[in-house]
Amino acid sequence: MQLVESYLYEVGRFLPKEERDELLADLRDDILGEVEGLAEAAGRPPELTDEQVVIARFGHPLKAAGRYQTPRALIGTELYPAFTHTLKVVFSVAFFGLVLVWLIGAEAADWRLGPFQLLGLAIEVLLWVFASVVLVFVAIEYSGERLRWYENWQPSELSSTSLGVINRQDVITNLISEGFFLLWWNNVVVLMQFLPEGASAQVIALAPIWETFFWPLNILFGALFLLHFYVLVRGVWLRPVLIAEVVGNTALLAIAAVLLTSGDLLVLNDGFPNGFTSNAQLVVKVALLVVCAATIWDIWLAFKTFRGAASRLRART
Amino acid sequence: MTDDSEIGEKLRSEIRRGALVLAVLAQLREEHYGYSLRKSLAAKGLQVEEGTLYPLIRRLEKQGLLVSEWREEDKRRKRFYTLSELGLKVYLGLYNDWRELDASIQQLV
Repeated sequence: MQLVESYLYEVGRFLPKEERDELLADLRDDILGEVEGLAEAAGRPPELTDEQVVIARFGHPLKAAGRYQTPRALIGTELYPAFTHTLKVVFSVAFFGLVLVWLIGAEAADWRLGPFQLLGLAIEVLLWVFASVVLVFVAIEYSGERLRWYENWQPSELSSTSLGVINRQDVITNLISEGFFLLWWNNVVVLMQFLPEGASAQVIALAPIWETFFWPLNILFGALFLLHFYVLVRGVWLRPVLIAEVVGNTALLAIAAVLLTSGDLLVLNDGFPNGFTSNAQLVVKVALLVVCAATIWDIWLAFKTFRGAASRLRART
Repeated sequence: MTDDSEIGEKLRSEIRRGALVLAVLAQLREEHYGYSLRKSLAAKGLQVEEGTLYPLIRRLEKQGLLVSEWREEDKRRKRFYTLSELGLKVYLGLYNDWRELDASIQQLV
């Protein structure tokens, strides 16, 4: 019954948390009842092909989950999960594209933005994306057209290699913070415009130690940004991806450790009072410690996912 | 598919959707689990897809029209459904409506 369990696992990803266990127990009962019925009609014990036939009839995991959702006005329950799934994928692609375009723009055409300009532009683009996806799905719903990937889904597409479902909020938080860091690190977003008049980038700057890590941090954050983008689109953790996550986060911790033990992390000119200078240094160090804590938390979650997958596997065999 | 057959198909599915609730309630005057209910409906000429029937049973249970019980049968835990008191009342009301509607339609067609 490995195939049935893989299917239920996929369906469970799209069910509301509070009802998930109950709905999956029902769905398991329904599927197994159908499998037994098929085998009984053929006068033999259930076989893998029976499971495949029954699961194909229940349809794409998104569709199966959709049947248990509350009816909606604009996009029907059968199509709604495909809509939200598409929306998440398109949002991720749009955000990824935005960061990429801004990085290239900064390099090629010297684009510079304040953080609020960046936020405004991002919101505008994402609103357009949202409106376009809604329009497309409303058109699909009312035209009776069918999405081929949704309707012609086959159980053979089930992935049995996933280690666990991602926590979408965690991954989105990582993706946004990595994207923002890349933009700031490459000087696309200029934070210094928020300092009081007279205090500019010339008087507060990062200490030279940071320059050593210009490319390592670009490569590391670029890789983590790509990785989280991929994970968000897939919706599940695969073993190599989770290993890459742990390796990336460990590398980040190592860089943070070097920075934290390197003395001053900012260069401030003499115009600032003594108290301000030492506080500014402290703030940067505390910020780095917060990044370390978040990174250690991510590593811990990765190990928890490994452990959860191992115990699920033991329970099934 | 031509336009008229498409329209016909939509209308047929609308009629079936309403009638299906009555058929399910009627069958669940006796206890059934999901698969046995689908088979018993099919045996009486009402073929219903899994994707339609199982969520419907769940919805009816949520509305308080059905009661269910998990029980082990043939080495597997199964969920058995039957009409609740409210379900029986609603069923009888619907059945009367259906008979009146049927009588009117018979005079009209």
